[in-house]
Amino acid sequence: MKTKYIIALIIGLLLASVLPLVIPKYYTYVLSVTICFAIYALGYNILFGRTGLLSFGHALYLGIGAYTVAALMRPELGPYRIFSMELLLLAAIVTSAIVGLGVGALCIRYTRIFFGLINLGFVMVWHALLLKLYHITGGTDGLPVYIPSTLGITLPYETFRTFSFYYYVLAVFLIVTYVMWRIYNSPFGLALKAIRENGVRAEFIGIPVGRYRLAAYVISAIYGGIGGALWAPLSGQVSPDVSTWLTSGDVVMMNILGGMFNFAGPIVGAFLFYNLKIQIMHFTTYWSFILGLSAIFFVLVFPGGIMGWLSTKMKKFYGQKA
Amino acid sequence: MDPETVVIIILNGMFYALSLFLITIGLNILYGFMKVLNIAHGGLYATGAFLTWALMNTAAKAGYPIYILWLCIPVGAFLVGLLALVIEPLLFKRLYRLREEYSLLATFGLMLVFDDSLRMIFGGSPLSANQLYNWMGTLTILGKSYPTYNFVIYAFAIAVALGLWIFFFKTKMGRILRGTAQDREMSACLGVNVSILYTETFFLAVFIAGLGGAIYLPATNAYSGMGFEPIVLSFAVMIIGGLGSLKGALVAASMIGLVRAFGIALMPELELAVVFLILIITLIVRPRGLFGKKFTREEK
Repeated sequence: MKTKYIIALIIGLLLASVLPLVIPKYYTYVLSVTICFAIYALGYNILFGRTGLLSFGHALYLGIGAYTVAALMRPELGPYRIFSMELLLLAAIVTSAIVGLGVGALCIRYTRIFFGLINLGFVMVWHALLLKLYHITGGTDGLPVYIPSTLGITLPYETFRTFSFYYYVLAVFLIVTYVMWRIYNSPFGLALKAIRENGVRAEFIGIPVGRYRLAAYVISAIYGGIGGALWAPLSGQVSPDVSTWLTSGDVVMMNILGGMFNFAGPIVGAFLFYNLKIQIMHFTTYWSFILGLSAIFFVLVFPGGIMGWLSTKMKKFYGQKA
Repeated sequence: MDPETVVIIILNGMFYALSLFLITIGLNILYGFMKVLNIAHGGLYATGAFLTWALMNTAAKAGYPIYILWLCIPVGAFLVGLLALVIEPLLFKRLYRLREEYSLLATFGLMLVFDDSLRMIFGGSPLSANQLYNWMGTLTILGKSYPTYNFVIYAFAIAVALGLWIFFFKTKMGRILRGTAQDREMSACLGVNVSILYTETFFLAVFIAGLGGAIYLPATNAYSGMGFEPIVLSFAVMIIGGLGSLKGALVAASMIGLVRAFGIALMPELELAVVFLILIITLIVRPRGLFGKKFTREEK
């Protein structure tokens, strides 16, 4: 069984690295953006699918990651401007972790709709601040994001967004996915599952529910920050639109489409959601109509998401064979 | 600021607050009884406005007298209610059993469908039907003129609040509803047809949202995307006021409306931040809301 997974992984990796050479430039760009959202969705799922906390405001961290990158590149900083992508990622991790710790400490005392709405409150406050503090944040116009240097090398401008940065994003994605996989299968990750199933019982058997929820929250905040930080140079511009309740809703949709109780669910969901959105937008202006219908369809027909449905099918298939 | 301006700001604040109130009541009913978080409620509110626009516009073009135009408001709301009778058995009945997240996603999807359908049918530009608004004329308050129609809205919202209070606390049907909200199985055992009761309750909640959209139409416009803005604030109102509390919804909606109106006058663009700061502070200090019931340990 294990060798099968490794072979599948190697094939997947080969495919992912050859793909930009074959597909049109525009799709390489789309793919890179999708991977950023996949990181964001993956982080969100440790809170949502694993711990059972539904946040309506996680675009806050996407925004914090993106704005951290943009703010550190501002020409006003003169000699202190940072262009190294690694340092920028580190800065985004630090800021989103700090904010996540602060906001999380206030939020994790509640669950259900209360947890969701307190997060919504924070993202809307942040959104309003982004609009209002225009001398720092650029208001509705946002801030420009320049081309960062990756691993100390400044890559040529022409192919950065459509080719070379893709590999960087892919590498970061692989690292954070591996880290998340380890977190999921650690005693901590399993304890989160116990908290999701029954918080009171989890407390009885000695799991520090509050602290674990906070830890899950901070992890998801950091992943949001990383996703935002990688997305900013691809977009070339950050604006307050990145952090609203609608973008926060997108990530919930990605998780449910892909399957929130499956490790790969959010990744598949992010790919599906974003690419579906782009494809539908190509041929009709009423894309949200179709998106809405498909959301309803998924909830009613595939409540476990695509991956949940696939994995039960696979189990049945292999079960019959054996 | 001179007192005249303050009065006008308060009136404007209440004008906005009552639209939130009318949406929040529906949300509260749906969450209180069926445990469904209905994001599509904003879409139903918008549908109320658009359908009433269609009725009023035809009536005005045909030259019908003014009382026919008044009649358009309840008829429009009733049509939205009929829509509810279609979507409740088709969609919501299946959601009652599911987790909150699923109902949230499905109703969000429904909201998108509503918004785009309205845009498809009525186009993207704002539609106005201000015949009643103009017909009512203006009043003079402290030397400033103010539309009389707005007072119709205030009176209407108060009437709705009173009517609902009487319905829930003084009638047999209201008692059955409250009982079912507390214990669904037990009510079913006592002979209540829960399925039909839910459909009726759903109709009521949607009818009020439709009425809200309809009664606001003459004073504002029907535009695409009009359901999105109030729905987020209505969720905030629901939480601040306390889940399931009629009084809480009214107080919280007034609070949000007034804060928003003064925010727009004093520090524009920050008003949303202030509104949501109130939400955050309420949740931290008093998570059950102003008039909500105490939580049990499981609910926490």
